[in-house]
Amino acid sequence: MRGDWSDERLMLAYRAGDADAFDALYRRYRGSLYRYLAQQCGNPALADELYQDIWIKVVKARADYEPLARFSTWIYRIAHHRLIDHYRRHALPTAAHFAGNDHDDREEGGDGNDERIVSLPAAGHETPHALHERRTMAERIGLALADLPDHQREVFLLAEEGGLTLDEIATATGCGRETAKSRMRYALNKLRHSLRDLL
Amino acid sequence: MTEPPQESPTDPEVSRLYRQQATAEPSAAIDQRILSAARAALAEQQTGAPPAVAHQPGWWQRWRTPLALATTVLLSLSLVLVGEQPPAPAPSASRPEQARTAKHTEDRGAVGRAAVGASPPADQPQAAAAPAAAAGPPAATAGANAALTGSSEGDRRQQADAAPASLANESALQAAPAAKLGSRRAPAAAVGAGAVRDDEAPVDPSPTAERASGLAVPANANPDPRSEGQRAAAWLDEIAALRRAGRIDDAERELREFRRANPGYPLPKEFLR
Repeated sequence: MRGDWSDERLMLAYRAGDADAFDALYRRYRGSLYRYLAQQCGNPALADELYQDIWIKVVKARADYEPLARFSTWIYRIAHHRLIDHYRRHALPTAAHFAGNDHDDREEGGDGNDERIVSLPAAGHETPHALHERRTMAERIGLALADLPDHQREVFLLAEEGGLTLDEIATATGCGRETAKSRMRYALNKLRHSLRDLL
Repeated sequence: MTEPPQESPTDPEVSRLYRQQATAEPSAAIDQRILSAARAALAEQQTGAPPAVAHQPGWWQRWRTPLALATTVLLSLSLVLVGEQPPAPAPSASRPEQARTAKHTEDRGAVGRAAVGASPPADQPQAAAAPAAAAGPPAATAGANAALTGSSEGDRRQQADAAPASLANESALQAAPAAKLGSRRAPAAAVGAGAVRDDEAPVDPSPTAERASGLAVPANANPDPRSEGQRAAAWLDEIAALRRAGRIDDAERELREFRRANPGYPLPKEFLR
C-alpha cells in the first residue's frame, strides 16, 4: 500500500509515527543518495559517514517537515549542506568552490580538465583487451565524473540520481536556475567529450 | 554534440552510460543502523516526551497555581461571609424593624453620654449595654431592656453570673443568644459585654433609645408592662415635640413606627387627627 504513496505522504506518515513509512521512503532513496555522496566526495568511507548523518538529520527534522517542496529536493538540499559542512570543517578549498554560485558561469576549457579527460585511456587509443584489463567502463565514467568541477558534477548527479529538475536543482544547491542550467550544460559537454568513444 | 532539452537537464546517452555503472549502494549494516535509529526516535517520541502528550501536563502546570489561589480565595471569602452573617433575628421583630432599630441606635448614639446623667435610675453596668446595642440588634434589645427595667440586687447577681459565661465584649453575637434565654438573663449578658469597654461606650438612655430598643423586644422577653407604658408615653411626648417644632414629616414617621411597635397602645386624641 505504501508503495503507491508519494514521498511527501510517506514522510508525513513517518512524522505521525508510522515507522514503516520511513522504511519505504528509505528504500526509495538509499541507492541514489548514497551514489550522489560517493561520487561527490570520492571516498567510500566518507560517503558512508555522510550518508548516515543525512538520514539522521532527516529523522530529527521530521517534526518540522512540511511538504512545501518535493521530498527529493528537501533531502538533497540537506545532503548539499552536509557536504559543504564537511568541506569547511576540514578546511578543504573545495568548500568555497562548491558553495559558490557564480564561479562556473564561464567555460572552463582552459583549466586543464579537458586535457586530462582527453588523456584518459579510451577504447580508441588502446586495444579492447587492454582497456578491459586496465579500466572498466565504470571506472571510465567514474573518472570522468571525478574530473568535473564539483558544482558541475553535483548538478549532473542531482539530475541523474535525484531526478531533480533545473528548478529543483537550483533550490537544492541554492543557486539560480540559469546557473544550474549552465552547470549542467558544461557537465554534459565534458562528459560527452571524455566518454565519446563509449557513446 | 547534442544539446540537452532545456527542461531536461540530462543527456540520454550520457545518462545511459552513467546508469550502467551506477550500482553502488550502502551496506546492509548502514541500512540497519539508520532504520533502527528512525524507529528508536519514534519510540522515544511515543514513550518519552512527545509534544502532543507533553502539552497536557504543561497545561496543568500552568494553571495549577492560579486554580489553587482562586480556590483559596473563594474558601476564605465564604468563611468571612459566614462569620459576618448576623444571628437569627428575634421572632417578634421583623428584619426592617431590626434595621430601623439599629439605625435609631446609631443616630441616637451621639446623644448617649450627655444623657447619662438625666437617665432614669440605671446603674453603670446597665448603662454599658449601649455598645452591645450598637453591635447587634438582639444584643441591643437586651441591653436597652436592661436599662429600662432598672437594676436590682438580683439583677446584679445575675449579671455577675452571666458575665464570665459571655466573655462578652469580644462579640455582641455571643450576647445575642443570651437575649433569647429570657429578659432577666439578657441584660446580664449585655452588661457583661459592655463592662470591659464601659468608658468607650456611648450610652443612650433617652426615651427614643429605649423605644428603639423596645421595638425589637423578643416576644419571649416578657418585658415589664409598666416600663413599656412609660416608654410609649415618652415616645409620644417626643412625637408631640416634633410636631410642635414643625417637623411634621418626622413626627408622622415616628408615629407610624410607634403604631407598628405598639399596635394596642391607646393613642391620645391629638394623635388621632
